[in-house]
Amino acid sequence: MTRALVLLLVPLLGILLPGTAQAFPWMIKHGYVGCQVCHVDPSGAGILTKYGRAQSELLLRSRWGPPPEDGSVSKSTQFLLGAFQLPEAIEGQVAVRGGVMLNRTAIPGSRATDQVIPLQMVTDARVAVIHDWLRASASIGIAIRRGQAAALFPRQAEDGFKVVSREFWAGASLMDDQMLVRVGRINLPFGIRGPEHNAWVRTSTRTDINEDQQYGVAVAYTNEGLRAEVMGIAGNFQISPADYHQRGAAGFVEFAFAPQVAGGVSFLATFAGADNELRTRNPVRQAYGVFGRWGVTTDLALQAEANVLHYGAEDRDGAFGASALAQADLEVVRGLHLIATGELLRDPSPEQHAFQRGAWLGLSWFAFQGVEFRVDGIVRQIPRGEGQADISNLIVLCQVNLFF
Amino acid sequence: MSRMPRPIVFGLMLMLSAGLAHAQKGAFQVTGDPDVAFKGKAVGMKLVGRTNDLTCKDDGQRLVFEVNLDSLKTGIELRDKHMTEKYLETDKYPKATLTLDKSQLVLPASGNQKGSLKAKLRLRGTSKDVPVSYEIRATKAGYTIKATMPVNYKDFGIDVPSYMGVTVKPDLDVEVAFQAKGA
Repeated sequence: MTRALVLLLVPLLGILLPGTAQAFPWMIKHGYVGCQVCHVDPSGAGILTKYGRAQSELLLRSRWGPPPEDGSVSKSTQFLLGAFQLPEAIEGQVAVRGGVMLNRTAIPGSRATDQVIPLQMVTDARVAVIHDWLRASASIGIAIRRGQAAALFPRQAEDGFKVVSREFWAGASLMDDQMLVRVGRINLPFGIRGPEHNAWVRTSTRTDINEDQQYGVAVAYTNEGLRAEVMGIAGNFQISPADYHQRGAAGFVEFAFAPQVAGGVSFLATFAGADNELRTRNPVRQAYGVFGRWGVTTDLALQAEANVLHYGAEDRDGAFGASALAQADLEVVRGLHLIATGELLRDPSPEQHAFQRGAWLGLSWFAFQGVEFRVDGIVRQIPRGEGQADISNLIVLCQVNLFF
Repeated sequence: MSRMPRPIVFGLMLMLSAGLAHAQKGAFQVTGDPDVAFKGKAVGMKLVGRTNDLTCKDDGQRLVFEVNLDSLKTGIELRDKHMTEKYLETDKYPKATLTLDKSQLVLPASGNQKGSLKAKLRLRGTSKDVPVSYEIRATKAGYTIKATMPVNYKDFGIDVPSYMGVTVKPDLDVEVAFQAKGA
């Protein structure tokens, strides 16, 4: 039993790993209530615009020395640190993230198990086109473990070399760049999109931007105080058979009450012929959430998200669940962030009667242009049922994130 | 050197002292820590520029408020540099002034007073009338004043601020809060 639980937990831990995201919802503390100023994806994450590249020097990384005299940003903010000049309409980015995870799992009544797992999380090349009304973006990369939902060749094994494409879409920018209509494989619009893309609020809603993108049509709208996106989901055509394709819709709307305060609501509802994760038939998943962000000062940002979940299927009773996250991000000195996060999860399962509890304490340092070092300590308590002590996980995750 | 007749000297001294007494009693002064903010918008962002460098001159008929534009901060050094050097051209036009007739301002003896008036804003060498809404609260030390006014920067010949594809919309909201004494 104990061994089985350990075997069960190890793959679960793989889900914990922060990966591809470079989305910083705490930028609201600088008045950035929307994402499309810095990202080609109007709801954030992934390839940066030229403006976003400039902000990575002006607001993100540690400063070494005075800014250039001529009032510009450094050449190193450009693609591949400025070594290669792209045409005006093209944006490019190479993203590499790797590290090591130290994991201790303690199951009461048995010896704790320790693991050291080297990680290759992201090795992606990204390209985007911004020309007149045309917008397009695509990524291609390799994944050694996981990433199968993004694999271009579905027959590849779960743990093995895979060619992955997490997103590719094309669309039209309308209304003076306030609206973007696009079609393709797109990040699902739901909740707060941040670097902890595998926090429970993301995994429980299957809106992890590492690989939970879906094919569909999305309409995003952003103005100076409102951002919203709604997506019609056609399924992830990179997995088969077609029964696994989830269809439905997801979306959010967020309103900025002040330059540093915003709040919003999200929804997601999908159905499929079968669930490739839980192995149920005709599953219907629903999630409804609220979220908020507050830039308390230019050093401190708070954010929170809470979701109600419901899962039902032909061969499984319907059940409610919930997931929540609260986070404080303190920029101790320019470029160095101390991040404290608390999270809760109750799976929408008839067998789940208690909340899982988690806490993260992280230190993230944007040391140089396109270089982030991050260390997270993560504790998670997983209840086993009435009368049984919780399973405890302690994870120390060290990673280097390069994005040029 | 001929001496001025004594009655005239006495009369001048009387007038001067009366004038000084009036000036000391009635001159309108900004006190405390004033806050001047302009709020701008772009798609996906809200921009706030802020300074506390506000002064007021009172000549008895008019109030002239002055803001040192070089002191405006938006939170990003490079943006401040572009704003002051490229758009406001503070080397040529270092100050913005707002001039209003003192008679338009109704100062309450107690409680709150809300109102609106027309004032002349001079910015980057161009003057234009702007509507000002204000709220004045009488305090023991004088007054607490909050005022707002819409400003379209194009009216003052300022180019559209644009940086790597992000442009600031022309309509700005200016908000001022300060303590004052005098009347």
